[in-house]
Amino acid sequence: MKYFKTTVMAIAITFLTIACDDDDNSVVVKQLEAEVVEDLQADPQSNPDGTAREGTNQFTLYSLKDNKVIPNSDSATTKWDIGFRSTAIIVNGGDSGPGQGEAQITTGIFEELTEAPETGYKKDEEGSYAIQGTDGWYNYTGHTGTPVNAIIPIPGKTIVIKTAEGKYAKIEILSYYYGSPNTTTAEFADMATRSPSRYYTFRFIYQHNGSRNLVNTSSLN
Amino acid sequence: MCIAAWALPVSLHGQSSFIFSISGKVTDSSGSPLIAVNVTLEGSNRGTATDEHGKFIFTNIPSGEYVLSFSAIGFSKQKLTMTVEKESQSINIKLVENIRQLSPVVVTATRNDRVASDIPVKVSTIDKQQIQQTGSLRLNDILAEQTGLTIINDHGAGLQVQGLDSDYTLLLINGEPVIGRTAGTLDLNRITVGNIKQVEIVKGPGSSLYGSEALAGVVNIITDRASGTGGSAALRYGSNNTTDLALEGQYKSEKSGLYLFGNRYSTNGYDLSKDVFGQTVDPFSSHTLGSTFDYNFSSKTNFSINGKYFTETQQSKFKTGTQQQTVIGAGEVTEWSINPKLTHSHNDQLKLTFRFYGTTYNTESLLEYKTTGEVYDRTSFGQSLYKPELQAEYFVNARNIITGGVGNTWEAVEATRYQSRQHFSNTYLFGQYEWLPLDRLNITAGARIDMHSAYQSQLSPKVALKYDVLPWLSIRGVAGVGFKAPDFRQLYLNFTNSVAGYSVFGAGVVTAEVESMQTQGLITEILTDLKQFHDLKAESSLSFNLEFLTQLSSTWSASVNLFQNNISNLIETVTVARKTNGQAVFSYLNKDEVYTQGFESDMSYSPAQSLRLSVGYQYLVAKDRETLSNLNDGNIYARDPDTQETYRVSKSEYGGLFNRSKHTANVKAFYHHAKSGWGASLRINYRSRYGFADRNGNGILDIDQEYINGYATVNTSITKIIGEVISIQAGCDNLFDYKNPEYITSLPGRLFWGTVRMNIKSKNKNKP
Repeated sequence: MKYFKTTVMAIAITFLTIACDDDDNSVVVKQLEAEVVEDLQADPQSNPDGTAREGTNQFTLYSLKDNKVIPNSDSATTKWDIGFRSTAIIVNGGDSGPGQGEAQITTGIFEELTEAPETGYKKDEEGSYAIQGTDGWYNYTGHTGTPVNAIIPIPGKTIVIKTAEGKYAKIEILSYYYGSPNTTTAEFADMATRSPSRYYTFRFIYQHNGSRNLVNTSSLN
Repeated sequence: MCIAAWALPVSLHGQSSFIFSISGKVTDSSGSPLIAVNVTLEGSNRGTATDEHGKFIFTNIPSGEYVLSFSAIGFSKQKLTMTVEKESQSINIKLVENIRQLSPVVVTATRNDRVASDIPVKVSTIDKQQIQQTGSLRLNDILAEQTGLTIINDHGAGLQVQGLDSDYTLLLINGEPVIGRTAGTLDLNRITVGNIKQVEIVKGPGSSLYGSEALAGVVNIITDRASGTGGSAALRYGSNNTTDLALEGQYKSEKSGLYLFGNRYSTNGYDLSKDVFGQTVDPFSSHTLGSTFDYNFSSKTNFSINGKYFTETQQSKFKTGTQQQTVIGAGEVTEWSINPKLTHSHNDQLKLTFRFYGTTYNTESLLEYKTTGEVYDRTSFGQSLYKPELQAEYFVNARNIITGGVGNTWEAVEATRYQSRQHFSNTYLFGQYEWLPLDRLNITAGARIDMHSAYQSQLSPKVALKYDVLPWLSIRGVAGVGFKAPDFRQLYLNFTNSVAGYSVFGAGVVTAEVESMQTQGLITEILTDLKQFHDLKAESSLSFNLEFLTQLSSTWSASVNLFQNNISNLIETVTVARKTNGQAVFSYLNKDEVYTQGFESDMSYSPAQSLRLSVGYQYLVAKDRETLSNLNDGNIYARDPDTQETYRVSKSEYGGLFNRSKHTANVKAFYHHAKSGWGASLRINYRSRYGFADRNGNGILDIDQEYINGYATVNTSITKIIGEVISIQAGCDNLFDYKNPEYITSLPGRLFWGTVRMNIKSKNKNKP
C-alpha cells in the first residue's frame, strides 16, 4: 500500500495541448500511469492468514486493458492478456491462448523503458513459456539460500508483452508473497512466520493506442 | 666435521705451489665452542663445518689471500681476510649472536632446508611450543589465530588466505598433499596438532613449485620424529564433553629412530538453537595414528618412512520434509597415507631425494527415516593418489644453488555422484635457481610445468628476491603464477536431484548428457552453447607480494606485506539448459575474474625472554571484475526491501566478494617463566563484518542486511610445569561467550578445558 500511494503521488498527470499546423484539431498527450495490482492470487495453497486452502490448479487470468481479473470460463477468449499460477506466467497467445500474446524480459529500470522493443518476443509453448521463471523473472534461493526456499523477483527485470489484442505493455513484478513483505527480515526467513506465497504484486503500464511508446499516449481531441 | 677431501688445483690464484692449511676454532662470545658453523673459502667452492670442539681445517691451501666466511643460525655472519704466505695459519674467532631472533629452518619455500630469515619468500612458522601454549587441538584452532588467515566454515573448516578460499590453498603434511575435499573445502578439523613439530605457511605465489592449488598459499605441516627415547601422554577434557587423548612414544639409536603417535578426539557437539530439532553440531569422534621411522645407512644416505591413519565417525539426526519426519544415520571418513623417502648426498655438492607418496580418502554415509527404516540418502566417495618424485639439489657454491625435480601424480575418484571411476595423471618438472650475487641480495627464480591428462599443460614461473637495505631493514618481493586444476566435480559430476528435479553435470560429461536428454525429449531449450564446455581451463593467478621487514632491536620487529592476487578463468556454475519439468541443467565454465589485494602487518615486542607480545592486522579488498564493469555500465539493480522500489546500484555500494572481512586483527601475549614453570597466554581475534548472502536479488553484496556483524573472540590459557615430568594447563576459549546462532553455527559459546601432560624423555640417546 505504501508503494501504491507514493506512486500515485509521484506520477503527476499532465495534459499538454499542442497546436497543430494544418488544422484546429489539437492533440492531447497524456502521460501513462502505472497501475499497481496487489496480492493477486496465483493458485495459492494458503489463505492470507496462513490457514491452508484447496488449490485450483488454474491460472488466474488478468486483463491489462481493463485492469481486472477475467474468469477462467473466458480462457478461450482474447479477454485476458496474462495469467498467473504459482511461479508460471502465461500470455494469451501461442499454446496458451487464442490471442496475439508474446513476451520478453528486458533488463533495466521500469521507468527508463520508454519504448517497447520492436523484436525479440516469443510465444508461449507447452512447457516453455515466453516469460521464463527461474533466472528469468525470479531467483529461487533453494535449501541453502538466504532466506531459504524463497522466490525473489530479480530487480531490474521488466517484462514487455504484446497483449491478446497485440497492444504493448510493460510489467514489473514486485513480490510473490502476500502483503509484499520485506524479504530480508527474520520473520520472512522463518518459514513458520513467512507470509503465504503465490500472491503477486506487480505494476504495469498498458499502451492502448497500439504504439510501442510506453511513456505517454496521444489522441485527437 | 667434514673436510673437503678433493684436491684443489695447486695453481689457484696463479701463485706459488707451496701447500699450507688454514685451521681454527669458532666460539660464541662467552668462549664456548660452536658446533656446525659453516665455514667457506670465498671465491672457491670449498666449505666445511666446525666439529664438536668448534674446530675446522682446510688443507692443501696454496699461498695467497683468502676470505673466510663463518655462518651459523642465530649468529651474525662474519668474514675474515687472511694472507697465507710462508706457513699454515691457525685462528680463533668469536661469533656474535644475531640480534635477529633465532630464525627457524624452513623447507616449504625452496623445497630445501633454509633459514627462514635468509630466503626471499616469507615463511611464517608456528612451533610446538606455541601450539602447546594455546592448548589447540585441531589445525583450524591454531591457524585461526594467525595474521591473514581466516577459517571459513563451508562443508568443513576451510582456510582463507589473502582473501582466497580453501580451494586455492594447498595443505601438505611433510611436503605431500592432503586429499579429500568436499565442495573444494579441505576440512582442517581432520588434522590433530598433537604430533606437529612445526607448521610452515607460505602465502601467495612463492610456493608455485607445488603445482595445482598452491595459488593462495601453502600450509606445510612438519610432523615430529624421534629425537631421543621417551614418551608423553596428554589428556584434555572440556566443555561439550570434548575429550582429547594424545600418546607419543619414541626410540632413537645411533642409526635409527622410531616415533609413534596416537590421538583420540571426541565431542558431544553443541546446540545453539534449542527450539530447532537436532543439534547444531552433531557428536563425532576421530582417531589418528601416525608413525615415522628413520634409518641412517651412512652419513650420506638416510631413509625415512611416515605412515598415517585417520578415521572419523559423526552421528546425524534431523527432521525433514513437509511431514517433518526424523532422519537418523552416521557418516564415516577414513584416510591413510604412506610416505617413504630416501636421501643421498652424492658428495658435498649434490644431494638426491627420492620420495613416494600414496594416500586414500573415503567417506560413507547412510541416512534413514527413523520410523520406516527407508533410506533417505546414501553416498560414498573415494579418492586415491600415488606420487613418486625425484629431486636433486646441486650446491654449485655458497652463492649458486640449483634444484630440479621430476614427478608424476596418479589420481582416481569413485563416488555415488560420478558415473564411473575417473582418473587423472599428471607429470611434472620443476627447477629452481638460488643466486646470491651479493651478501645482501638473494634472488630465487623457479618454474614448474604440469602436463595433465585432463586439461592443458600449465607453466608456473616465480621469481623472488630479498635485499637487505640496511642492517635492520630488508625488502622481499615475489611475483608468480599459480593455477588450480578443475576438480573431479567440475569435470565429471553427474547428479540429478530426485526431489527438486534439477541436474548438475561436470564440464567433461555435460555435452553427452544433455544430448541424450534432448533425444529423450527432456530439454526445452539450450541456453549455453555446448561447444564451450569442451575446453575447461585451469583457473590461473598472477600474484605479487612486497614485504618490508625491520628488526629494530632484539626486542622489536615489524613487517608489512602488500599483496595482490589476480585470478582469471574462475570456474563458475552456469545454467546450460531448461528441462521440460521447468528445472535447469547446470554445469561449469570458465567465467569470472576476481582480484584480492591488501596488506598484512605484524609487530612483535619481546621485552624479556619470558614475555612476547604481538599484534597482527590484515586489510583486504576482494572483488569480481565483471561485477565492477557491470556496475560501471549501470547494469546492476537492487530492490529496496521496504519500498519495493528498483534502483541502480552504484560502485561505492559494492562490498566485494562474500565471506571476506575488510579488517582482521589479532593481539597475542605469551608468558613463560622457565624458573617457576608458570606460563600463560591471552589471544584476541577480530574480524570485521562480512558478506553472508545476497538478499535483494542482484547476486552481489551491496546492502547492510547482507552482512554479518564483526566480532572478536578472546582465548586464554594458563600452564604450570611441575618438576621435569608433569605439566598442567587450563584454559577458556571464547571467554566472553560470543555467539551468533543464526549465522555463525561454527562458533560454540564459551568453552572451558583442562589438560594434564606427562613427558618422559631420556637424554641418553641409547638407553630408554
